[in-house]
Amino acid sequence: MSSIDYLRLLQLAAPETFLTLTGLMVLAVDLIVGRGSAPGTRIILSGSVAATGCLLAAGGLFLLPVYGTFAAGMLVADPLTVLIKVSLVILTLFTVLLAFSDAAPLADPGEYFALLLFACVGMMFLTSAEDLLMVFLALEFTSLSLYILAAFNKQSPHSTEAGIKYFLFGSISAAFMLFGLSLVYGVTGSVQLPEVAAGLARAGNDPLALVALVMIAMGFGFKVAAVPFHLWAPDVYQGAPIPSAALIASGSKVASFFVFAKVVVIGFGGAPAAVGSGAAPVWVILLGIMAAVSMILGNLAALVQVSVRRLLAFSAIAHAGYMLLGILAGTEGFGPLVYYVITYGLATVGAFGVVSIVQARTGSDRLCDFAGFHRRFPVLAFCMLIFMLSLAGIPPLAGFFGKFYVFAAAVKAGSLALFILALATSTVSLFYYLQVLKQIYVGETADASHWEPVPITVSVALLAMAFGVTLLGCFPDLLLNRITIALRITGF
Amino acid sequence: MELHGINFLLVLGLPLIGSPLVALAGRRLGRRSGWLALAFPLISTAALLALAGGIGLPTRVVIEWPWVPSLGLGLSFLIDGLSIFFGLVVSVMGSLIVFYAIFYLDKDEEHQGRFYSYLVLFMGAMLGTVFSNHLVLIFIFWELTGIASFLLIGFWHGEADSRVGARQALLVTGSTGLAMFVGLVILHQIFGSASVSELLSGDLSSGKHSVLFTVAMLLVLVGAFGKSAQFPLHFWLPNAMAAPTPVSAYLHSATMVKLGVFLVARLYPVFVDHSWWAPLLGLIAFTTMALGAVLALLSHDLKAILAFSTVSQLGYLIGYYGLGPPDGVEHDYLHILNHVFYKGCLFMVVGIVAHAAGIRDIRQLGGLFPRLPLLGVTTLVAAATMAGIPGTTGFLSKEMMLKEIFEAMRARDELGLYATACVVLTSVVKVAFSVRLFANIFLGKKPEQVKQDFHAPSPWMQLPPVLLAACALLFGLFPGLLDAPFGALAVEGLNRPQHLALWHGFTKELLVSSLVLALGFGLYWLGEKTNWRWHHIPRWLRFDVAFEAGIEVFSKFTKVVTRVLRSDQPLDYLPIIVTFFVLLVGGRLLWQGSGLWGSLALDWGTVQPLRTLAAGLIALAVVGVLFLRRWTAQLISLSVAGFLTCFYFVLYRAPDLALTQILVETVTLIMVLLLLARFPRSAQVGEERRKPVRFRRVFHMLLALSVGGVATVLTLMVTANPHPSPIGRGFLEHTVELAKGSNAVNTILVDFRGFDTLGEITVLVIATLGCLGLLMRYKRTPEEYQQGPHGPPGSGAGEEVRE
Repeated sequence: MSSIDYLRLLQLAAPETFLTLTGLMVLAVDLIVGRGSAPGTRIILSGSVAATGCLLAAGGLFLLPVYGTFAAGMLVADPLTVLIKVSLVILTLFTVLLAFSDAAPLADPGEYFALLLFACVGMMFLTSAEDLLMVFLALEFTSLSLYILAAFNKQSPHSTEAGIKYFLFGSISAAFMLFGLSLVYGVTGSVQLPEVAAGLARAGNDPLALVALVMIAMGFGFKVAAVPFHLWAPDVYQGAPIPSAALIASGSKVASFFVFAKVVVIGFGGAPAAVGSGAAPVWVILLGIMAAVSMILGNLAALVQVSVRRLLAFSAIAHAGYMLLGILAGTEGFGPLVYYVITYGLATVGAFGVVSIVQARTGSDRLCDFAGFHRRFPVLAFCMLIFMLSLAGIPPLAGFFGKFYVFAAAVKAGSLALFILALATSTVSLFYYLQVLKQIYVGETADASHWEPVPITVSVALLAMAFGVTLLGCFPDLLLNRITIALRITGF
Repeated sequence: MELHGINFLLVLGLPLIGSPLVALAGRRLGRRSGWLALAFPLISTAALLALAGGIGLPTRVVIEWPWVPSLGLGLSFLIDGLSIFFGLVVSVMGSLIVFYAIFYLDKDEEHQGRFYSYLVLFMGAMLGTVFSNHLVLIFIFWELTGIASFLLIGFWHGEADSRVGARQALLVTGSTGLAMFVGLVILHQIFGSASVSELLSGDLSSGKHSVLFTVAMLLVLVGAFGKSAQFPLHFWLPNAMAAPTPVSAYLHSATMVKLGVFLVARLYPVFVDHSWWAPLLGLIAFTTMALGAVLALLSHDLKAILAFSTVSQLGYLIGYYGLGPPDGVEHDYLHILNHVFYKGCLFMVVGIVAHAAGIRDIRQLGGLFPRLPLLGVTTLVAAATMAGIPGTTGFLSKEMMLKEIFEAMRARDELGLYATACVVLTSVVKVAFSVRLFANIFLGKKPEQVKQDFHAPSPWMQLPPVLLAACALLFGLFPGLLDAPFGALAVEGLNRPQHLALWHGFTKELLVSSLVLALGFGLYWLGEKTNWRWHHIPRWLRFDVAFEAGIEVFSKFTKVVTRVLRSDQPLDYLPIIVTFFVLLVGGRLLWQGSGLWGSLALDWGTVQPLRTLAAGLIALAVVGVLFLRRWTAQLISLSVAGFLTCFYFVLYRAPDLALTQILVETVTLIMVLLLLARFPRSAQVGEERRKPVRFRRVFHMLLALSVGGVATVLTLMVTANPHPSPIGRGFLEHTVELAKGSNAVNTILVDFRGFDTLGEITVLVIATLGCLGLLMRYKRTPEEYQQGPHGPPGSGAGEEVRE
């Protein structure tokens, strides 16, 4: 074994290191400067440090990317992962900005922001891992941060419940995944994805490999909230503090799907299919079932929700189904999947931001609480319009191209039945997104009480996201080109 | 090309950009925003005419701007005769309608800006659909017309009718549009090109015999049938009549419902050879034609009569393409234009009548001619056109229709016969309700209520229908005028324009035509004689009622599904996940079946008594966990299993492993016991109270057993095939040499996999930090402990909404 070049490691992991340090700094600032100040001051103080950190990290990643591979795939920095990392940091930045809102009175803002950053670091490591051990570690790193974030509102039993449920089922699925990963190692003798692929090809039709795949799929299925591993999602989306829920719904999904696709496509996809063994059809069938059930159940259940956050949760489940189509399409679907999850994340964080505004002012997130929102905050109502329509996949918003791109890849890969199902369920989904908009725009309310103005950071974040969603919808090439080029360089 | 591009931007881009402008300006302008909106269709018409002149018809020009090159998606537009013809219909009718709406909408009508904005948006979407050269663009604009029409139909959203009508229209056209999209995508897959012009001009014979091609055709036709209100999806169109009349006149007679016809025409050269094309289109479309006409006769609402007659005419138009010969049809433009003339005119007339008299029921109207002479004459001409009286375009259209249908009857046996029967029946019925429409509104004596409520409409409002009727009359008298434009607009593979003349001599068609007229008048006379008593739509023909009921059922179904699958309790979660696991993994293992058991054959000779004893004791301890009641007892029993595992390790001569296990076991036992001691008694009581029912318990037991079984089989499988070169051996061999330590476990942790350990420690630190954050700051007060948990264990926040 060769010695480790720590300088190289630091170079490649510079953004992660920087964000970790920022997280520690947030803790320190909150502890030293913020002690004894009012909660509002502490939020602004530690929040701005965290936001600045995110901004700098995103800028650094974007402008001065460093590419390379460390320790045979433990840490890979190529254009594609850098792209994902940039979007992760940006999503975290928006989440941080949302946390400025007074939705959930944060008892310990320093720790909260630090945990947000740590979760982001975990996701970044997850993105760059091509080594199954690192994948698992990073996944746990992310998950642990998210469990705590979900349970962070200590006074609220719902938040605690969300945290506990998330944690319990997260651990179970992690156990499954670890079992699966160790089986993979047992079958192939390696934990590095390319070698795993080669090993699986050698192993041929080994039932253990299939068992391993099922277990890994269960682990990831939980992370991305695909049916039947979705059960935690509604409770967590509803109970967790809103910024936490937003990050769970966006960043965590981006990273998990990216890695899921990477593991399936690189690790399991190419090799067995190439030698024509039975393995390839099995994962296609497995993911196909998961996708179909997710699309149907997510959309149907979302129809009857009263709580907007639960509605978003079920819509997230449905979207997980659409995204699984991208994985099913194999290498063809990689680019579409990346585009889809990023734009989906943007719109979701935005939607949660608007929900947080309403919840802070009415105390709940029922549909009827949105009535009259248009008259109180016309600009933000328009932002919500954009987010909802983008999630529903209406042109010319980013969500449409995400769907179009993923569905086209699915058709190319031959899953016509799933494509039709996806289209049909998308239509259904339009209904519940419009329900929200209907309340916002035409809903009648007797409540004429004055609402506090929205914090400026939240408005800026929402406007920025709405602008991003529209821009990526009108000019999808801004992102698509980067993805395509990155994919070509990475060799997909 | 440059010039064409700019021209085309004026045609299409301006309305799309202009729509929000009108809405914005509407707040300022109020009632006058109509005049602003009028500018857009006028400019589009002018630009379209300039474009048509510029490209030198008949030819085909493609204008393209890049949009998303990485997806091969460009803003590509096809300018040819067909698209220009439909474009002109859309923009000219748009001008007339906007002009008409300016006088139609009440002065105190709110949101006028929004209304005109939707109207302009709709026009832009229509133009986009007919000019699109990319299959995806067609779909985008197609759905945009659906959305715009939804907004327009539901414009008076205070009324329940409007909302229901708008919803039906959106659901039917929207979902069939999706089906069409699937079809278009399949077409793209088959031919490898998403460009309409390439589809039309390319050699496509290779893909035409596949099953997929048939599927694609069917799906595209579903889209066309939905949009053009074909049987059995025709019901949305009459219900969409809840819209303001200008909308009905524009969308539901002249333009949007013709999109299906347009799509059929656009893809005619692609599909016409298909053996299912003629039977499918013929059966459905001619059924629609006859059914629509009969329903029109049975209706008494003015707009419903027109709506059903539109359904009927749309059926004819689609059926016309269905029976067309492979090298193209002759008079499609004539039939479409004729329909635009009289139906647009009649809709506007009906709007004016309803406006003036305040009534839309034909049974309560009459005797309006003296009050509205100009309108009366206009209606007479339009009704004559609808009935096909000589001197109008309607007559030409009917002559040609009969001529072609007789040819078709010869060419296509039963199908032709069916079509002919439908056409003749429809023509007779059509004459009857045309006569009724004119006579019962304008002739006869005036009912009391009409006398009271009547107020004269603005003369300007009557201008658009008069213009349309005049066209019908002018071209009807001098059909030669149409030869040149139709010739120029002809599209290769679709049209074979023929000379049009008023007089064809004494032909079979003229004879039938006269018979039809006579029969039609007779039918009307019969209706008057019987006072239209038989006159209502029977329940089994009310497809809209069935549709609404279906939607109701669907909504109930989703509620049931959600309630059944909702699980807010961990007790429900786990079985789902575990069942999935057992089914997939266990099922897979069973599938492999035969080969598996052989490889798992146990070597009984290796079984040692001491180890067996340890294993048996572990199993016993686990059983204890199941049967003990108290939490502490269960926990201790569980840790007995843990300690026995240490013993098991010792038997394998792994003392360090056993030591680690003992330490971990002890620490966790103490920790959990301490925690349990802090739990309120009520938590445990709560759990005991919630024992699951017997069925569940059996199910859970089976699940647990099968998980155990699967795990056993897996373990056996793994141990049965040891890896040829386990990594542990390498570590053992090199531990001194590379890591300078003789304890391999330690060197693996701190040297060989040091990076992992570092990560693991970081993870633990983060977790600890977070737990500290959660636990330290917020301590429950003794009072809160007294209150016990916030609910029984695992109680879901679930459905109940938080206040």
